[in-house]
This record gives sequence, C-alpha cells and structure tokens, in this order.
Amino acid sequence: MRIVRICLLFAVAFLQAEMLRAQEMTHLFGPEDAPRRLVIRSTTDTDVFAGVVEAFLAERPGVSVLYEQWGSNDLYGLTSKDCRSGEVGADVVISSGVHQMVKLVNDACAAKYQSALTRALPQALRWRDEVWGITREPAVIVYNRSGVPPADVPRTRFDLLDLLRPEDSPYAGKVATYDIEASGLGYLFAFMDSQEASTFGALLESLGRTGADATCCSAEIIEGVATGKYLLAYNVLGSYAEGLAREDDRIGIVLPQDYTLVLSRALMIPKQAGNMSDARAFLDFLLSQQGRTELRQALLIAPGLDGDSADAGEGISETALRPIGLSPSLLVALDRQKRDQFIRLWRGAFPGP
Amino acid sequence: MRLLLVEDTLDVAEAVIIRLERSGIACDLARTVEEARGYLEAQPYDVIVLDINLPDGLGTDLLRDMRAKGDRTPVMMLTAQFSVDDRVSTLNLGADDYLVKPFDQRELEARVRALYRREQGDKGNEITLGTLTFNPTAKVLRKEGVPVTLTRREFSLLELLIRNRGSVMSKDRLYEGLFSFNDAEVGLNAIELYIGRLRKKLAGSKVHIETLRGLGYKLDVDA
Amino acid sequence: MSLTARVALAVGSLLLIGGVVVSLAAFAYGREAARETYDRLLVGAANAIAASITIVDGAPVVDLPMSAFELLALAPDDRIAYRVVGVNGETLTGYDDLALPDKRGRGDTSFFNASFFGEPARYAVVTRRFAERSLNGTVHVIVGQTLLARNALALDITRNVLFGLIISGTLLLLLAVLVVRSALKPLARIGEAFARRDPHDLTPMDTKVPREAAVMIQALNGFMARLDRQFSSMQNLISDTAHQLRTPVAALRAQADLAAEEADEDRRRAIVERIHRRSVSLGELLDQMLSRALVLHRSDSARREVVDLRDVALEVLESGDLQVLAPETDIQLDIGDLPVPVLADSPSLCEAAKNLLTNAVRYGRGPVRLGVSRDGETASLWVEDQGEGPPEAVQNSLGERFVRSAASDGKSAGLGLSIAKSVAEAFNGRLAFQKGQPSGSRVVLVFPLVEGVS
Repeated sequence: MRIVRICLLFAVAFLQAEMLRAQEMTHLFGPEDAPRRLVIRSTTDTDVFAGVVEAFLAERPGVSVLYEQWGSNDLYGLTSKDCRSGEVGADVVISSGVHQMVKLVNDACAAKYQSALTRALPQALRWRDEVWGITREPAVIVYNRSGVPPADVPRTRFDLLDLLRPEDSPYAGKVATYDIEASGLGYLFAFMDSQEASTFGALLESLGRTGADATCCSAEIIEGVATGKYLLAYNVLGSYAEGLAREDDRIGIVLPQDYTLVLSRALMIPKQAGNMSDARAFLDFLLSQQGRTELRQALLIAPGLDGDSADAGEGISETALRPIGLSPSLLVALDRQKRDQFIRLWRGAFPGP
Repeated sequence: MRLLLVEDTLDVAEAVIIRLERSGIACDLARTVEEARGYLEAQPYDVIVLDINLPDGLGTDLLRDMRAKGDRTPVMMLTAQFSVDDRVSTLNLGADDYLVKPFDQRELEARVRALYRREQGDKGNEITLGTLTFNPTAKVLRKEGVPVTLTRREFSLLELLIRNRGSVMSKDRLYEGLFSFNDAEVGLNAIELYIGRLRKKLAGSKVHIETLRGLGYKLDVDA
Repeated sequence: MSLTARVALAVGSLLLIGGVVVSLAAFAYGREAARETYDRLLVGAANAIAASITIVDGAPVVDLPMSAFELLALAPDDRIAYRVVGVNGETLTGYDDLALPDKRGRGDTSFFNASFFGEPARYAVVTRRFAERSLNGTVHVIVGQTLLARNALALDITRNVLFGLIISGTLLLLLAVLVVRSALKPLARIGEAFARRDPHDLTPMDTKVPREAAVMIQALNGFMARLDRQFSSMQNLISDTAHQLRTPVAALRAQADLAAEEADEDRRRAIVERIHRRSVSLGELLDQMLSRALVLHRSDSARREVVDLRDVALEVLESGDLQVLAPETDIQLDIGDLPVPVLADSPSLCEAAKNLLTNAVRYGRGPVRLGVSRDGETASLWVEDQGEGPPEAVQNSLGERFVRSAASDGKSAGLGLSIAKSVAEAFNGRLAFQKGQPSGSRVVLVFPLVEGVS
C-alpha cells in the first residue's frame, strides 16, 4: 500500500510538472485594459506568431490578444476537456496536430463559420466550415552544412536510406527526428509517412538500426543539427528550420523530392468560445491578403507553397507535394488501437529513454 | 241579343252589322280597344266579336283583361292569322270560338247564335265530371273552365259515353248513335279513331275512356 | 373563356397536380436513392474495418484501415462515428458511447438511426464471427455518419427532377397552347369567310376543313340550304301572289266599276252576284296559297313523326270547312281497322288532303269518298268522285309552280293539286291519278308504310 501511495504521489507530481511545462508561455498583446480580449491557444511559438498577432491588433485598438503557447497533445487534451465540460477557454485554437483538430471537429467541439475568405480556401483546407488550414509548412530534412558533404546531402528518402546503409556509416547515431509520443506533430508526420510510401518501413528500420535519436521539439532538433550533435534531422517542420537557417548558416534544408509532406496548421473556434466575433475576425484576417503576407513573413507559409505560384520551393515539383488535408480520414491517426500499434511499431526502432 | 263588334275595318264592320241587325241582333261597333272598354263598362253584352289587330292594341289583350276580371261573356275572335298554333292559342286565352278572315257571313251568324245559345243554355242539364263540365243543351264542353272544341260527331260520341258512363258501350252501339247523321258515311272503323281524338282532347281531365278489347269502350271518372 | 385558355388551364392544372405527385415521388425517390448510396458507403467502411480485425494474443486487434475512412470521406462534410465492440461487449476502439441498438435486423448487416453529438446520424452495424482457439465470439463494427451528404443528394436528385419537370411542363404548356392555336386556326378562317360573305349568298361553304369543323360546316350548309329553299319559296310565293291576286282583283275592280255605272237594276244585281263569287274564290285562292306556303315551310322545318293516315282523313272530314263549302255534298269515309302509319307531318298531310277533298267536292261529281288504304309497302290516302278527274293539262302541269288557269278562271284546282304534290314529295311520297273503284276517278297520295308500327 505504501508503495502504491508513493507511486501515486510521484504520478501527481509528475502530472503537475507536465502541466506547467505544457503551457510554455503566455503573452498578452495589445493594451491590458482593452475592452475585448481574444484568447488564442496555439502550438506555434509565441515569437514566431507575434508579428501576425500584432498586425491583427494594429487596426483593432479595442482588442487585446492573450496568446497561450501549448504542446499539441496538451492543447488537444485541454480543448477536448473544455468541449466536454462546456467551460469557456480559448476563443481560437491553432494546432499543428491537425488530426487532433479534425477529431475535435468530429466530436462536435467547433463552431461553424463561413465567409467569402473561408469559402475561397481549397476544399482540402477546410472541413465542415469548422476547421481551416491557415499555414503551408513542409516537412523537411535538415542537415549540418559542415558535417555533411554536398555530395552526401540527401535529396530523397532513398538518399537518406543509402547514407545509412553502410555498416560504418558516419551518420549512424547522428540522425534525429521527432519523438512521436512526445510530439503530436511528429506522430502526424510519421503516420502520414506510413500511409504515404513503402519507404517508411525501411526508413524506420534504418533509423532504428543506426541508433537515431528521437526527441521532442523542433528547436532542440535544429539546435542539435547546428551544433553538430546531429548531422541530419528528418521530418523537421520547415518553418522552424527556415527561421533558424536564415540566422545560422550551419544549417541546410532539403525538401525531399520523392514527396514532401505539407502541413497546414489548423484553426478552429471552440463552440463555447467567449469572444466569437473577434475569433472570426482573426480567422478572416489570417486568410486575408494581409494576414497571408504576415504568415509568409513568419515563414508559416513557405515560399512557393501558398498555392499562389507554381514555383515550389527549391525546385520541388508540384506533384511531389503531399498536403495533409483536413479530412475525417485523419481520425484513423487518433484511433486508440491504431495509435498503440503505430507507437509499438515505432518504439521498435526507437526504444526511447 | 246584344252584341259588341270590335273591328277597325269599316267595310267588314258595316257588312257584319247590317247582316246581323237584319236578323234581329242589336250591335254596337267599337273601332279601338279603348272604345271597346268604354262600351263594356257602360253595359253588358251577350256576345262579343273581337278582331285581333286593332289600331291601339291587340284584341287578345282586351280578352285577357276581361277574363282576368272574371268577365265570362262569350267571345268570338276574328283572326287573319293563319297557322294552327295561333288558332289554338286564342282559345287558350279564353276565347270561346274563332273565325278566320275572310269568313262567310252565314257562318258568323250561325256561330254567334251558337255562342249565345250556349250561354243561355239550361245550366241544370250540366254534368260535371272531374274537371270537365258537359252541357248537352248548349253543346259545350269545358275543361277547367276553358271551352274544348269538339266536332258534332265527337260531341255526340262523348254524350253517348257520358250518359252511359261506367258501363261498356260496344262499337256497334256507338256507331248506331252516330248513324243519325246522314251527311257522311264514316264507317264502323272510324269509331276507334274518334275515341282516340276524344282521348287527346280529354287529356289532363280526370275523365278517361277505357278500351275493352272485343267488347267496346267505357268512360270513367278517376276517383 | 377562350378554348386556348381552357386547354392551357386544363393542361396547366394537370401538370400542377402531376408535378406535385412527381415532386413527392422524386423526393421519396431521392431520399431512397441517397439512403441506399450512403448506406452502401457505411457498409463498405464497416466491412473494411471488420476485415482489418486480427487476433493477437487471444485479443482482437483492429488495424483501422485508412481506406475505410477515405470511403466515408466521400461524404466530405459528414462527421464519422465508429466503434468496434468486442465479444464481451467491451469497446475495442472508437467512441465508447455509441450503443448497439436493442433491436437489430437479422443477418450480418443492419442499420439504425441515432444522433451523434446532437446531430442526426445513420449507422451500419457489421458483425464478424471469430471461432479460433483463443477467441470465440462475435465482434460488432458500428460505423455511422451524419446526414449532410445524404440530405444534399436527396435534395439534389429532387431538384434535378423538379428542374426537368418545370422545363418539360413549361414546354408542354407552350406546346399545348401552340397546338390549340393551330388547331383552332380553321375556325378563325371559317369565321372570317363568314364575315366576308355577301348577306344573300347562301351557297354552301367549302367543306375542306378539319373533320371536327366539317361537322359544323355541314350543319351550317344544311341550314343555309334550308334557308335558301325557304327564301326562294318565299320569293315564289310573293311572285305567285302578285300574279295570282292581281288578276282577280283586276276583275273585281272592273266589275265594281261596271256596277257603279250600271243603271239597270237587274243587270246590276247580276254584276254584284259575279263580284260576290269572285271575292269568295279570291278568299279561297288566298287560303290555298297560304296553305301552300305553310306546307312548304313545314315540310322543311317540322319534325317528322309517325302519323296514322286514318287520323288525317278523319281530321279533314271533321274540320268543318266542307259543311260550309258544300253542305249538300255527301262524303263517305272509307277506312280499315288497321292503322296506316307513315312518317310525316300531320298538319301538312291535312292541308294536302283538304285540298284534294275540296277539289273533289267543288269540281267533281258526288258522291265523294275519302279513303285510306294500305297495300304491301305503301300507304295511300285517296279522294274519289264520280267525275272525270282533273283535266289532262292540269295533271301534266303540276310540276309548275302555279297554274295559270287557276287565276284566270277563278278556279284553283291546279293549285290544290300542286300543294298535295309538294306535300307528297316532301315526305318521300307521290301524287297519283287513278281510276275510281268501281267507277269515277281517284287522286291518291302514296307514301311508304312505316314498318314495325302498329
């Protein structure tokens, strides 16, 4: 009994720590005493999104934005809980875990909204007029420019497999990717890979065999690549990588040419949102020309991937782009048995800490 | 006898008056409907001879008014109209007899006298059967007060049947009854046709003539 | 209301009623079709899920296939509910609170309706039986979907049908109006032709028109022909009258003039006597002419009915005129005990018979017999006297409209005969002259006997 109690205590302590860590940052934009407040819960880093929020507030003096930054799994859990309890939480939820957002919509947690701008979105980027894709971010391979000779830079997943194949591959143990249990986004990318191509099995096997590292966060991975801790990182969210690569020439970025997953961060307005009108205004702003420009500046819409031009980034062909559409079929990714099996499969390669 | 002639054609009127006065009938002449009304108000007449077309109206209108007032003075219509329908309709209006112009003076006098007789006839002899009144003296049959024109033979036949009403009259007996007329030989077969004519004329009254095949005819009044 | 409007209204209301019926049917069909289509989708997805179940370590494991959900995503905006229920009723995966319905149809597949997070939804249940060493029992797969796509499809089908209906209905209506317009065109043409016609033009119209209108035209032509006959007989009457009356009136006037100037009392009386005779015969002539006009008129206009010639004979005998005309003449009636039916107009026959009898009484020699007889197919009404009969010349000139001699000598035997002849011909009969039986002469009106009438 004693042991059980101690275990419970530990568990509670751990959970609290998890909660604290989950809500990484809260930032208030706009005047503190503004009559209207918009609560945004997002998985996007505050400083990445700041420009967009400020641009939104620039013409709305009476509005302030409370920006809460969350991990995708926690955000999903919290939003789902609010939805069930009816508690008023966020006015806008933005997550890179689009499968989780789709699930929230399927569970009737979202409010409907239509405007000329939402209707202009392609069918794949909206579902039921309750969730919308607002960004275009490729999943990329990041490499260390000094550690990886130009000839070795993998252009495709097959290149990556080839690099890892030799017994004495210099890249063994030097490849990183998301820990799919810790990162909702990582899970999604991996899951989409598993659906997309047969290379996934081989890739997983190679990564496992060479002792690749799985970690939680984009920043950590890219930082590792920059310092040379890792030579290659697979399936890194392009927006972060691009942002860091611009300031740090140690980092190189490749869009896999066999196919490139493109993520559109999903936005939904919870049905019990307290400030529905500003939430809608914010959505329309993001979809407007101005909002898209801001998103582009924040690198959340990757160059050439906003659908405005056929010129895909770094010469990648249009057909190689695999946008992750907002479709109910993403529910599969969240199916508990599917998830268990998938994680079990993945854990086979990455035994974890 | 006092007679009122309503006639606007002076030639005809004069001739008629001279003729009738010669045989002892006192005549007054009215040349318009208006004048006729004046005469009728002033004194009663035994017979009225009435032309249809008059300068200020129709003789039939005067007739209708008289009958409406309950005046039953016998009226003889003079008509220049030809068709059968017109002749019948004047009778329906309440005229007692009619003559078509041009007519024979002798005929007019005979008919006027018949009308007079009919009116003077012994009402005691009158037989009423249903809606019919049969006066053998005046030789007149009325159905609901309207005179029914019968030829002499028809009248005699009806008289025979009425006098023997309720009993069967054989064809032969009826024929013998008619045989007294020696002006025309009509034959036994005509009896059936005369019965037919009588039936048509009695239609609508409560009197009917029954045919008993092989036996003869029987006149009965409906209960 | 015009015929076009009537037809348009009739077709319109027919279309409206039909439209309502078809709309209801279309809606029912649309719903049914949508239901079937999307039920198939549900079953397909459920089957795919059921097929993905494997037994691992004695427990069923669902490897949810993406394809199943992609199938369901064909209804792009509908939410998806699913649950896989294990052999003991436990949830293997999916939404825990999706309950299996109490009553389910037999077989491996069934459907039910229930709400899903407050939105109406349709569910399919598919069962899969396992009979393995480690697991024995039935696993149920429930897959459900909200109804947006179904309703949209049903509405779409209905709308398409309605659209077609409205288009075809409008076309039909227009067509009906056009057809009626063109069908009625001949009527307008006929009307125009009539309007343009000279008022005295009674010639037949052109019957080259549609059959339906031809009936009308034929009736009109028949009517005009009758009108034409009556018109011309009226004209004949007027011209006859003018001719026939002028002569006796001239004679009367001459005699009257003579009488006025005559001093000798005896001779004057003789003249007056002649004036009287003339005027009497003038009256008779007038009667006959009018009678002829009447006969002509009736023979064309009166309805034909079955007439017993014996009744006609009796009517003539009873009419009373003869007693006045010739009280001294003895007339015998000769009729049988069988009816002698003919198809004719009774007053016309009476006029004809009266004329024959009058002729016989006036110009023939007594005794006069009026008779009716039937002989095989024919019926006869005859007048017999002991004289010679009408002169040959009169007999031959009966076809002419009038007989001059009638007017000039104040006698009108010919006119009477011509009336009788007209009547006979008007009713499919003829006028014949025969020897008397046993002596004398006979004028006979012969008609076809009407069969089957007793």
